[in-house]
Amino acid sequence: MKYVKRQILFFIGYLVIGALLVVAVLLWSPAQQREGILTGIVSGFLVTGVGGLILSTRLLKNPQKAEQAEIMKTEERTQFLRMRTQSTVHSVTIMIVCAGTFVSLICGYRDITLTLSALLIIEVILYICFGTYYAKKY
Amino acid sequence: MKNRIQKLRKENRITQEELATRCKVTRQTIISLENGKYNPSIFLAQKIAKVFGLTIEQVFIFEEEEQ
Repeated sequence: MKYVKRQILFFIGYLVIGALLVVAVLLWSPAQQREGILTGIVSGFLVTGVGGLILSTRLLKNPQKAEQAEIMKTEERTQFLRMRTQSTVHSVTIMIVCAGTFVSLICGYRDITLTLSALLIIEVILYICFGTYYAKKY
Repeated sequence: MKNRIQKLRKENRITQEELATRCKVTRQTIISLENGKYNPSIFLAQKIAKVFGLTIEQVFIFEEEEQ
């Protein structure tokens, strides 16, 4: 149940952010871009928020199903699988970015090379920062 | 790490679904454990052992060479 309640709060937050963005766009965005920005926000934040809220509320009415959903999301094997998947995806992404950097360098695309190199440097810095943080924490 | 979950489960006439519910995991986790594809945490091992009324050592077989 805790998980479903957290989900509901999360989707309410989504809706609130979406609504605030709609107001901000209506008030401050240039008239020509308004329609495009609003479509993006409505399709992104509001649809996700409303859809998620409907699903979570339905789940709240069925405690057995809610418990099953919570187990599926939080049990240790799921977390292990998620961690392994994220780690692999991260490694593959780095390899792709590295390859992209070399290819763009050879082809003479200076801007792309600089952007990809900056991404790699940020990755390394973040890796060191989080590595140090978790090493101290655990 | 080997285990005796499947054997114990059949002896106690417990289904995978039932064991999963009692340990608060999915049935897929029980299947993976029985097939030896996944090693559980100490907490899950304790929960499983408790269901059968045994100790962790009686359910899970720790092999030295795995270290």
